[in-house]
Formats: sequence, structure tokens, C-alpha cells
Amino acid sequence: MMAYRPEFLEGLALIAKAATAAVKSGGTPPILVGGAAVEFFTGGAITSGDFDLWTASENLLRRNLLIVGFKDEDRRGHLARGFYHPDLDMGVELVSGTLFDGRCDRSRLVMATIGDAAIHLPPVEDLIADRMGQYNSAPRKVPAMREQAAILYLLADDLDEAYLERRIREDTAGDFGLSDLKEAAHELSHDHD
Amino acid sequence: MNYRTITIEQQAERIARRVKALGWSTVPAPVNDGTRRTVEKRRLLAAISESAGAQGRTPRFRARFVPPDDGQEETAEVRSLQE
Repeated sequence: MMAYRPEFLEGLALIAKAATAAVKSGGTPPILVGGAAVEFFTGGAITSGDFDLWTASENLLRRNLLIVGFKDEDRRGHLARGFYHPDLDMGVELVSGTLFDGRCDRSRLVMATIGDAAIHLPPVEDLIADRMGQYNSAPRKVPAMREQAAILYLLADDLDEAYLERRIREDTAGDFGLSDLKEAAHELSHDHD
Repeated sequence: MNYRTITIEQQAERIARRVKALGWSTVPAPVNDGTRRTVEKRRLLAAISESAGAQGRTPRFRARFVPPDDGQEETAEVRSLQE
């Protein structure tokens, strides 16, 4: 069994606890996005320095993050949207607005349980598309993001390729599609042993 | 809503099986070079680094980032949560 970093597991457990408490208080389930979601879906191979949490219940989640031990990143004299855990050295940043610009099919969300708490994640197809979008976000491209997308693709089971194709097209403004991802995955699997 | 559920242990085992099936001994780990982090993200990472430093140790996870400029303006994404 692959090992997630202890601090990732500890941080994830605390975040799941805060998220579960927020939901029990009537909040919308927060969704783990960004690098920490990539860390989850790669079994800890690609690590992240913080947890990005999408939420529609910001104040409720904030209160519960403070209860489980996170501190406000308030060094500038007012509260921003960042939190950190002083022992784990893990940060949390709250993200609002619409999840993946409203393009994520919420019926595909994943609920990960850790102990007696749970945290929701987007479908891996959306994370792959997001990485492809980041790859395409600079004129010279961002090769590490294409590689991350390829790793997520190679490590995933039961992908919905039609949905993945659509999501990549959406997040890359039509510049890339599933065939480009498959090409990246082929290169990666060929070059890596 | 019927979410697809998985435990963290099942996820770790599933990934281990995929890695084995790919014939990999390790998984490649392309890193974020940190150049595209937002100001608020860099502030958060700086706060973590300072917190660890105040405890006389280095951060347990060292993310790449350019330390924020004190005079840097907040972006539209940052908003106060103060009442």
C-alpha cells in the first residue's frame, strides 16, 4: 500500500472533521480542490503545500476550521481566506464562487472518508481538465501541469472519456482534448519506469 | 445525492495496484515551480514558514513560492471576513 505523508493524512483528517461538522450544522459540503485533491488522487505521489477548499458556507466552515486547530492567516491585520495549522505546517485556503466555473457535474462528486469524517472531492476528470487548463495558461505552456494531468489519467479507474473530453475542451478553450492527454500519458508511461 | 464513496485506505490500495499494473517502481512527481501562485497563496505559505521558524524548526513541507511583497495590493479574490 502506498503511503500518504503523515502530515497530509493528519491535515485531511482535521479538514474532514471540520467539513463534517459544518455539514451537520446545515452547511453545504465543502469540496477539496487543487493540489491537495491531486495528492489524494495520486496516492501522495504529487504533494501539495496546502488544501484548497471550495465552500458555499464560508463562515460556518471557517468556525469549524478554527475549532479543529487551524489559525487565521491574519498577519496583515485583517482576516483573509487563508488558515494554517501551526503543528502540521499545512495551510487551507477557502475558494468560493462556482465550482470549476459551474462546469463540474456534481452528481460525479467523490466522498472520501477518513475515520468517522468525510470530505468531498471533484471527479478526477475535472482535476485532469483543470491541470490541462493550467498547462495551457501561459504562452510557453506549463509542462509540469500536463505531466500531472497525465499521471492523474494513468492512475485513474473507470474514467468517463466523453465527459473528460468535454471538460478538457472547456478548460483549454478548445485548444486541447482527450487525444492530447492520451499522447502525454503515452510519453510519460514510455519514459518512466 | 448518491456520492461515490471511498475510504482513504481503499484509495491508497487502489493507487498501489495501478502503479504496479503500470510497472512503475515510483510515480513521477512533477512539481509546481511556484511562479504562478497568487498573492494570498504566497502570504499563506509565508505564514506557515514563519510559524515553523518561530518554533525553531523548518516547515515540514517546503513549497516553492516567492515571498509576498508587503506593499503588494490584495487581489479581488481576497476579501475580509471581518464583521
